[in-house]
Amino acid sequence: MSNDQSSQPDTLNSAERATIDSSVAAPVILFFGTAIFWLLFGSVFELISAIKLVWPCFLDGCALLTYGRTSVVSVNALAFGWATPAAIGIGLWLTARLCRVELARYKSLLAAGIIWNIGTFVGVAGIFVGDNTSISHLNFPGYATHILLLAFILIAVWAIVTFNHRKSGPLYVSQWFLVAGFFSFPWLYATASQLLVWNPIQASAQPAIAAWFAGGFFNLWLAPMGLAAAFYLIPKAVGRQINSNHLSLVAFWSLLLFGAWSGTSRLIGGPLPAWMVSVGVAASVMMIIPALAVALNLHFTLDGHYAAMSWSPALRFTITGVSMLVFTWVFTAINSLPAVSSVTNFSDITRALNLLGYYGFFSMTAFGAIYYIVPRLTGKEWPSSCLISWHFWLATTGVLLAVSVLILGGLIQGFALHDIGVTFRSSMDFIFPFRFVAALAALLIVCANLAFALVFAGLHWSLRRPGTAPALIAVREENSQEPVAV
Amino acid sequence: MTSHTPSNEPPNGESPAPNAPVLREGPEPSEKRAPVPFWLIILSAVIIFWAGIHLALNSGGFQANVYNPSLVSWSGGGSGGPAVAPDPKVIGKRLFSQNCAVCHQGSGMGVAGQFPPLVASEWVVGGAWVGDNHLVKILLAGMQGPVQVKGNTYNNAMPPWSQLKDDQIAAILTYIRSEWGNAAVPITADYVKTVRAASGDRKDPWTQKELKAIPAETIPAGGAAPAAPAAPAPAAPPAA
Ligand code: HEC
Repeated sequence: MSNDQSSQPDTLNSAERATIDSSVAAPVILFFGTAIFWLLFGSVFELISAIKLVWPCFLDGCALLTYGRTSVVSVNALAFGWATPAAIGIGLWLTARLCRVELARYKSLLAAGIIWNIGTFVGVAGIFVGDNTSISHLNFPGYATHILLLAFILIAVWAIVTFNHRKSGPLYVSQWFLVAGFFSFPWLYATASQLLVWNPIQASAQPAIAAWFAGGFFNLWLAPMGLAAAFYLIPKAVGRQINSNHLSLVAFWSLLLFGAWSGTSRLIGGPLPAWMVSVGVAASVMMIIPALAVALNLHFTLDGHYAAMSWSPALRFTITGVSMLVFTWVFTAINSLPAVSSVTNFSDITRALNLLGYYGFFSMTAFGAIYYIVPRLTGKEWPSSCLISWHFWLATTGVLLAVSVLILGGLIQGFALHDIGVTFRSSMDFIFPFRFVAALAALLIVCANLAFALVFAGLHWSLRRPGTAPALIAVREENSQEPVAV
Repeated sequence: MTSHTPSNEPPNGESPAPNAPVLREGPEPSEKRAPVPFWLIILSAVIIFWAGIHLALNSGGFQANVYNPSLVSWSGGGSGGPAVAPDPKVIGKRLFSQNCAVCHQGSGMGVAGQFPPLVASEWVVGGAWVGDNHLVKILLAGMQGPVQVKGNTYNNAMPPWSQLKDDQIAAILTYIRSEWGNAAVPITADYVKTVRAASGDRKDPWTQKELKAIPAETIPAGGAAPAAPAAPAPAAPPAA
């Protein structure tokens, strides 16, 4: 990474930035726009599933809307409809900006975006008609998987070509994360699809591959893409340098080394060789190292400059998101310890940690990045700072409320399931009030996403005349030393 | 950085004018070279060391056929051996609350006039002519018609429980025979199996009259094979 800061001057001027931005604008907006559609779609189905857990007769009598389909549809629509395209959009813009090259052949990327969404649509439709593969995170039937992989290969090839033509000098930390992410995703997805969906291997080995994929999808794909955005936006928004390139290196390599292995810890007690589970436990615990390295590095960078968080939507969302990533990794480490996971394994704590990671970290960070990127691509400011503020508070309250009640309820449920004298039925009765609150929290999250979709749509329908002031979500102090940071 | 106005762009016509958000951007990010905090290095070393130890103790030698290596923890807890079979009374309690408590109540006292009590009932702990085989038979095929329990007559119907497995029935009966002050010998799954075999595929609920015609058997306190019929009933009809 960078060796001497003075050898890395800011070689990009506004005109070059504008040229680069306009060359990626069309595909990035396409990825963001479709992602936001799937975000709404997925979170509505998440709400439906959360209600069904509390009130099983909700919307019954229709095969399409049974719990087995709605919950799987929401997970996959959010993972492949929302999170992955959002990560791709962020990745495309960051790659072009950091490599300081204009995008060549943006039409192939537009095609990739369209193919990707066709794949997601086919996959979701496949689940609805009953072709779910029943493997968590890989529920899309085989015929959809091929389409998605084709689209992603187009994108990865573009990313690598751009990377090779880069004009920048030494690599910046975000570029490492981008390259890691763009390589990991096709590797994980192709391997797991081949072994589990296209030519399934012997059944006893399948859970291990599925757990490896689910762990890798988060730690090697979403986490690097979110961190790439955070490491770009935070120093830029507060106008400071990242504190330590050594800490960045520690975070990067420890994430890459341990991230892929951490998934299998959840198979504790399953019919698998013991070492698989133990490797997962060891790796999950070691994920505390990247968690601390990221937290310290960004904290030292921001120290004394947190004020900008109050008015800059991009900064507020990004910092909230990265903090939740740190908590996700630390909680996952604790939850993977055999003494803990033997109690919590089949409880709602798994749901809580998924929510914290996927929504609390990734979605929040992606929101922050989108709030930063889109005005630059379109030249328009966000139409309503009030709605952005609602978006932030609804999302944060929703995710924190759901995570805390599900952890609490999950503990009670876990101990009940563990106790041979307690019937399964009673363990369901214990968790009931917690699931009720979690369903309310899911409603808050749907509202948050709706607010976000409205702001995004408002920007495109030009609800605000160009040339107006940027949307700040709080009044910026008059004599503030901080940059505008939006 | 100085803000560039559109006028100092390279004159290549097509490049768009920078918009306001781009113009207010700060410089591209870069990194300082602050050292890694010392305590983080130490902490990381400790975490990696712990992970190594954990792996060494729990990897089962990285063999494919070791599923549950000895989980030796620092506190010395947790053996890797096969899980200890749970106490049948605990399982019995759970099965009882799932299946029987609706009628006979968690207290085992039943409901006056409708559901007879199990506490100190001669059917449960054994009585003048009632044996352990009768108890198992009631469970397997159910019971109906007038029945005397502790001097009161009940006339109702109890559903059959033949869908439960031998060890489940044994666990329930062991539980009701040792709870609430009842103190009778445990019923084994083997014994349930013998009685089930002897009853053939009888589906109709028993009546007290029919049961009375079957000679009583009791499991001796040692829990071994059932003793010979207490009173060889003359010309007892074969257990249907
Ligand atoms: C639907 C209600 C109901 C359920 C459930 C039920 N019983 Fe009964 N049980 C009865 C009734 C009614 C009688 C008396 C039958 C008669 O009047 O002929 C009875 C009689 C008995 C008797 C003999 C009389 C006595 O009180 O000692 C035993 C023993 C017994 N039940 C055990 C059980 C066990 C063990 C279970 C759970 C596996 C169970 N019952 C579940 C209703 C029920």
